[in-house]
Amino acid sequence: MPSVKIMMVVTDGPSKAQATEALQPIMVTADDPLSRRPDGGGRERGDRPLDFGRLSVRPDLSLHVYVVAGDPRNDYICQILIRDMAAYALVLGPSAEDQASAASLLEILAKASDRPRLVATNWAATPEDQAGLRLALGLAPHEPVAGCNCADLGSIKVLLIALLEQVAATAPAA
Amino acid sequence: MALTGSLTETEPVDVVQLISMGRKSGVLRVVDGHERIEIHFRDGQVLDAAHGSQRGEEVVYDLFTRRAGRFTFEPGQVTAAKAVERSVESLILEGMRRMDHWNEIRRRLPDDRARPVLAADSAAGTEIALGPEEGHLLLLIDSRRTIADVVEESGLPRLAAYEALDALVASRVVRLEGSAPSSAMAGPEQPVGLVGAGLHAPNSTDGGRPATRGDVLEIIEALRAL
Repeated sequence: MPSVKIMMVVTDGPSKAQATEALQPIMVTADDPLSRRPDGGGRERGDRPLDFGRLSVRPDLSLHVYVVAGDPRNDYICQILIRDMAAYALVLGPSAEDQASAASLLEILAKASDRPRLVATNWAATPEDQAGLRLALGLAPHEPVAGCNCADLGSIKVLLIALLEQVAATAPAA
Repeated sequence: MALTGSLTETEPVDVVQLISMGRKSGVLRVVDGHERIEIHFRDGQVLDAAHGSQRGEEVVYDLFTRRAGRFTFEPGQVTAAKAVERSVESLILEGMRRMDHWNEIRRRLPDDRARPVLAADSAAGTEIALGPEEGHLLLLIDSRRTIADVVEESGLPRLAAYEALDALVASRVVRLEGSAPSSAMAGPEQPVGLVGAGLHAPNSTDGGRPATRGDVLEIIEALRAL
């Protein structure tokens, strides 16, 4: 059964929780009973290191999206998951801590995988912001810095589609 | 590459699920004080688990209750025989059920440094039926051993030992001395954490055919249409 797995790493927990929430309408995600305890308790979405979503395009074809909080404590999650991912997106917030986390994560992910990637900001970055970010994160000049509002499904879809287009460009024809 | 970390920061169930999701083979070792737990994985499924003289799936449930210690996962081929029949998904579900029970017991027995003491007077005149575990524990209760000592020396699975002790306290055969309020070794109650709903994912390697460009384009079209 073919499926495509992609990972979305969001540098702060609340934004990661927003992204998971935003994906709810189109994916089987955290509503799964396994993510809740029978008494209704359990770890809140914002506290979970990882959420998983699945979009079944047809019975034998699905897209899996892993949304990871880019906390340094979760580096090991990224290291494990990345080996099985077709591509990944790193979405960062505007703070200096977010940038530092992003730089560290990109280094880890780039070492582990040469799969397609996209860096995006969870805020309306100006061209100057993007240039500064490209420099700070050591991105190649041709690597775009996209925008992604983690609270907005449409915005996340644009990011995922851009990522999947990169995957399509390198996927085998048949 | 080995995976290491602290169980104070990462819940054991998350570690197990990550190994399962990554379909990894190797050995997960947990060191909690002088206790050692080993779980052998092949292709993400648990083959065997050992903790001292205990073997099998009870050891996995024991691991899920740990909130202290360090873990190391060493990837590699394992030769252990299949001693745990349940799938990881099933182990986690059963583990969650037991964790709820475990948390209830830990609310009543929060401090492992407390000393269980026989309280024959308060139970006088009542007939108490003891199960084998309770009877076994009673032999270890001497006013000097702490809860942690009794549990460890009992050789029982951890949850079973705490259950038995809880029953003894509830029936007033045993009372606790020196119990500090909610300063449990296990720390504050932790909810069971799972890494999302990855358990239900159809596996990408099932069936053998990788996704083609056509598949990816079909997914893109589906996303656009949503």
